Amino acid sequence: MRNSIRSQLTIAFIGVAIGPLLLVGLVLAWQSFNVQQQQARELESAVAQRVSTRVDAFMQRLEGELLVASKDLRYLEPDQRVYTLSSLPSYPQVFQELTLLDGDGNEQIRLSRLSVVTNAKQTSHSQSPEFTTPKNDNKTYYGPVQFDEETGEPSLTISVPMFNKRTGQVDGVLVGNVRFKEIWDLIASIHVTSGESVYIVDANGRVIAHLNPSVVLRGTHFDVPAQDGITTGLTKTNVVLASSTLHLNAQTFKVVAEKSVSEALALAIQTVIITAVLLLAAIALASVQGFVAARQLVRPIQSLASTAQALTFKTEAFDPALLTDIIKRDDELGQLAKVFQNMGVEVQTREQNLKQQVQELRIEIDDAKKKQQVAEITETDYFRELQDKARKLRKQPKNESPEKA
Amino acid sequence: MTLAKSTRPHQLIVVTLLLVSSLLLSACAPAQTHIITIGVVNLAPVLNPVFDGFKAGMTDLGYVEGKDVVYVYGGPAGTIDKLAPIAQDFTNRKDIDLILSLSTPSTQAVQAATANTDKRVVFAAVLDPVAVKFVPKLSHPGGNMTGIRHGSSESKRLEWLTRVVPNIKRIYIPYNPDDASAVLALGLVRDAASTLGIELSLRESRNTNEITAAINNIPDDVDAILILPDNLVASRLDDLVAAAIARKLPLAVPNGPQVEQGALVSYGFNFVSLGRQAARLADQVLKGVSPADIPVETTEYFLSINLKTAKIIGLDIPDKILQQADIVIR
Repeated sequence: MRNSIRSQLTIAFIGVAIGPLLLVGLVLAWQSFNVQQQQARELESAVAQRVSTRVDAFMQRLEGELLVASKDLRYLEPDQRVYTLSSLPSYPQVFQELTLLDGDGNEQIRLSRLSVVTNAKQTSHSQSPEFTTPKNDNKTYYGPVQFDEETGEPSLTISVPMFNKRTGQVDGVLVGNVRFKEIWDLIASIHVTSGESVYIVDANGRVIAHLNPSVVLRGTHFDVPAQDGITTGLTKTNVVLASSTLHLNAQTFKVVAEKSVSEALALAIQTVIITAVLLLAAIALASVQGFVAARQLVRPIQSLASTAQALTFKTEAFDPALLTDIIKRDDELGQLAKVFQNMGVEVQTREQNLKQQVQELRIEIDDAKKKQQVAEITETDYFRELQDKARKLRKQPKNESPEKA
Repeated sequence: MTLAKSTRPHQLIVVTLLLVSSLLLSACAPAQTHIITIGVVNLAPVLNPVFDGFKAGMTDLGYVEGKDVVYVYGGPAGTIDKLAPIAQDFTNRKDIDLILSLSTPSTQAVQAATANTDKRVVFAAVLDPVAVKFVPKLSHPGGNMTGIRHGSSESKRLEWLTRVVPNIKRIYIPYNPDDASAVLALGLVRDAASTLGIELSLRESRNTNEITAAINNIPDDVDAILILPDNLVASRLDDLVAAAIARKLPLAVPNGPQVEQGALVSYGFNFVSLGRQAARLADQVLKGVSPADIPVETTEYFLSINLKTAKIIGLDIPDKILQQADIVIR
């Protein structure tokens, strides 16, 4: 019975019990989710900004080393120039190659971390941007990121102009080829929490620095979204992502900080899970409670209904004792049952009395009817004649036979 | 109705609570952890510090030895012929999750044993994994193995030797022609020597007797001794140091720790940091990344100079050279 009182009561009970809880839970979960998302985005943005600042400072330091060295180089003997260059703090671990070019772009000195360089191997850079930009524009040049064909390691070229104080012209360029290993270490030194990662992407979308060098070496590409927020991250999972743009003259890089949604929004997700579990538990308990409560309410009504039905069809079938348990209840149903029991007993008693009276009336009617019937017989002429004949016969002498008479 | 008739209300509540509790408990129950087993194949004792670095790196990454990870290592094999049975045993064992192979000969044995299997391998202290066909390409290994190479620092090491000792003309190189790393390194040294105008005096040494003879018969006309990445020769480093000092010859070695043992100069990888680097790759493999997708990495190079040895052999190392050294033994 879908529309039974029991079903209606059970549903109503669950609705009353769960409704407010569900509403509060949803509001809390939604609010918590939004706040957490905003906080996570701000946090990742701060991390990206911090790394960007540190990388920028690192590159400025390298540029500074080249600028300081370039001021003295022209006044030194070739042997002293080699010594000065090889004494740069960032050589050879960061600058894997240092090249001194003259005013025409020809190599004067080249130091390499990996290879043996002889005079025969020195080449001209007169048409290369690492020479032409400082030479023509009088400013530092930052080249695009290049990747070693064999190892996949990225590197970048910085070149600074060398000014002749007497003429004010650029008469040489100092070029440094920068390994990204130090930037990898810089990123590795950033404290990241579980599920968080920081990386740098160049203008072509290739990852050039990452906590895990394998990501860089395998040539991973990533298109950094224009907007910070929840998106698909480098590992193709949902992340909270923020980026910061780093400009090194003409080169643009994106420093990205991301954290998996499951970690970044752990508290919000936990709140949702707890709310859901509590709701499920509350629904289960409310269902049981509602069912029990409905049963306690409906069963007495069913008993009353069946008792009333019995009373309707046959008063003898009415058993007041059946209502004893309900009468014990200290509520309206108990009162109703008590009244109904009294009523039933009274109806039963009245019916018995009425039956008795009917019985008695029926007996009286039978006597009167008999008398009337007798009277109807005795009042007939035939009966009177018989009475007369009988009377005459009683008056005759006892020895006379009836034939004689 | 049936339920209502057959079950008391309080029983229903208890059952419901138990169900909810069990659901909550099952959600909170920690997953069972698998103890990782790593088999180690090593040829020579000289590479034991790489394994030490590997274990230290694994510990830093959260793998507690005995609790999260177990190492199966019976010590260095000693000779190349003993490597194959060890590699085959590790390949056959189901409990070995990863094989760490140290040196080129060890990795060759492991490669042969694990061919056509899904056994995962991380190698270290391998000079050129492409040349010996461990991987087709450094950036995309493509097979069941990845690792750390110590790359081509040989030519630069020779150059450093000529800068530390400027008047060198002829260098003595004892080496084992059966060691692939040594052969590859020799090719690089040959090229650099040609560029720098230096002659090489080569001495093949395939076994202990031959290396003993090579140490006892250092030619009179050499100005320095250079050791290649060669396990057999490296195993006799103490004797070589003693012979070099006795002859007042500069000795150039592949690794910093060998400078600590008395060699004069080295430009090459560091055993412990190499091991740590390999641990980082092993961590990725153990977390499910295929070795095929983990690029082979190259070690960092460090310039090490032993001033004590320099003093003993009567060599004055200029400040401009010393200033560039990463490690100076005083």
